[in-house]
Amino acid sequence: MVDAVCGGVVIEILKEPKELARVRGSIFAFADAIGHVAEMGGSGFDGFVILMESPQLSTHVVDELALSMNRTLRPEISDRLRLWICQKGVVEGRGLDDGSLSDREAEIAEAVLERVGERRMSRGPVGGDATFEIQKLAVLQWMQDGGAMTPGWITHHSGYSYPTVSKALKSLEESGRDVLTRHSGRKGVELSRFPLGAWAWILSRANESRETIRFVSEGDPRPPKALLDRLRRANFSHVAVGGVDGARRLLPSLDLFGQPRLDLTVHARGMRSRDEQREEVAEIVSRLDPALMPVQSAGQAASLVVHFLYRKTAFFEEESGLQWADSAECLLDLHELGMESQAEQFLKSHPMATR
Amino acid sequence: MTDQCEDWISPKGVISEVAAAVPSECLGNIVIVGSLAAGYRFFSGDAEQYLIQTKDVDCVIRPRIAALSAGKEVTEHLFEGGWTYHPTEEFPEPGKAGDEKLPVVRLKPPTGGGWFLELLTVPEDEDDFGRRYLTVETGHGHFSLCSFGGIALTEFDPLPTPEGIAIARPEMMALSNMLHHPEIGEQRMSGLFAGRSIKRSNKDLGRVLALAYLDERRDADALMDWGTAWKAGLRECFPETCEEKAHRAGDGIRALLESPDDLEEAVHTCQYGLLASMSPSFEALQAAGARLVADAIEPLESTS
Repeated sequence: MVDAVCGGVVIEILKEPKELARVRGSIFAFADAIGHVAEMGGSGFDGFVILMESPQLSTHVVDELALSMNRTLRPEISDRLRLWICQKGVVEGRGLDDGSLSDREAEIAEAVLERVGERRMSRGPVGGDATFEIQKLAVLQWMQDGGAMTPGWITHHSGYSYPTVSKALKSLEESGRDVLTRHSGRKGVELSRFPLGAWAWILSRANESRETIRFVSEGDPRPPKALLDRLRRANFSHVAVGGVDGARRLLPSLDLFGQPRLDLTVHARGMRSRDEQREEVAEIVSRLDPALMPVQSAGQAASLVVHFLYRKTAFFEEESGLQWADSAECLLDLHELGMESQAEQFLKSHPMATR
Repeated sequence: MTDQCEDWISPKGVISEVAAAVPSECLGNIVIVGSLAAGYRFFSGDAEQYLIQTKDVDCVIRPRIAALSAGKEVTEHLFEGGWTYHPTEEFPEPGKAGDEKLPVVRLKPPTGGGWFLELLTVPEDEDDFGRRYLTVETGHGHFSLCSFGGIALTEFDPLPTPEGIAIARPEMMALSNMLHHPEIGEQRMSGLFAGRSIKRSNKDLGRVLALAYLDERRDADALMDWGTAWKAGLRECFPETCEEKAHRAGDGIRALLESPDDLEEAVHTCQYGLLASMSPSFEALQAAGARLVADAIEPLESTS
């Protein structure tokens, strides 16, 4: 993915790459693009650069990759492709270059790093997916047999405006026949039954709307119980346990042996920016296991999964020195784990589901 | 350059052999340190499954006041039991009276094997942090007992063994190495390590990672106890300078973790040394380092 075009140079920035395959993939993507431009007869750009910011690969490995790149690729491609490394603010070339950049290249590197840094800082405040959050809140209220919700109650606990709440409820109402009961006067609305259609939509949006991040240990993974013990010691008030642990707390007879991973829900409503959100997660993860890193490729089994909750009131419950996520979050986590029969068992354990 | 990786040995077997050879009245004066002690601590239940690669069996003679007498008695007893002097290029034979420089006590067992026993001792006091030599005169030649500052930690609360000889605690050996290398030095080992030239600091700090990896593998929360043990050990061994030492104890490990090239060298020494039986990945040892910093080093720094 191109991060910047500057001074006729196309640049992709790889932040702290750890796997050679990731760098190699970028090289071949660029090589393909250069070859394509050449075949079209276009002059294209002056050069293509893969800039590795604080790589977690040894310089020896990167140099070997650069040499291999120069041996493997056609000269008209390899001559225009460069690998740069930025360590502690100093940028240098690797491979056949002598290491130092020309003045023009150094200016380009500085400008691009500055621009990307500003872009990372300027991402907007955290808001969340309003319809997703409001409908999930309605499901939670139904699962807990909480009764009717007035518009004021929903706007207060969701943190979204009245028009936004109205729109979300209308969408919920249209998801299935007689799914929403509107009481007369100021009594508000409530779900008449479990909203299968809306829940299917919620499930389809869950990964994106909860901005789920999966972590895998670089070394031998710490058992989920060890992570849980550390979470208890860390005493975060805005981090709750969900997933299998959260479901088991509410339903000890949940038909499941073992503990596949730890699911956490982070209350992100008060966070001012994506950067703050990321820093918060980094802090949580480092307290649980500093060896945990975001999953880079499909197929890696996560040992820790973090989801964000954006409504105003978290509805976390405190017990045994931990905060616990609500039933709706736990149900989503079970679905996300692919535990459909356990999800069904968990849902049916709520009194409203059997009426 | 010679390659320093030698034969595979069974930690339990070698400790039994050493314990049987040393005069019984001196067993209490010896603490085994280094990879043999670590191997015994972590692998002794799996003697057949886990072997380690090492050539030197380091024995610390303690306390300092008994170093001369116990060192002399152990050396003479081993020679009389058929152990032989292990020559080096610099010292092809034992020293004699009047020699300016003396060899350390390095003896090969009569049963053969690719290893030798080496005697060390602890420093006289906490200001004596550099490398020092104490002359031991025996009927089989003159030798020196080497001491250096951090090794004092290895005699702190050592672990007894059924063989009657104590082994140093892994966390204390780790701290000893960490204090010895507050940064990545440029000095390289005299020989090759599994075919490669290795910086001394990378080898010693790599050992710290290996010990952390093994203890964390035994118990996910084990490293959380290291900081507490370190604090007690530093207070006992370095009462005057314990706080200063606590604050800089993690410098070398942090420098290693921030330098991919040096870390890769350290991993190489683990994969062909203490951890040869399991050959953990680069990432696994990097993870052990990150956990060591979070669980042990940061608490030590924050409470000292």
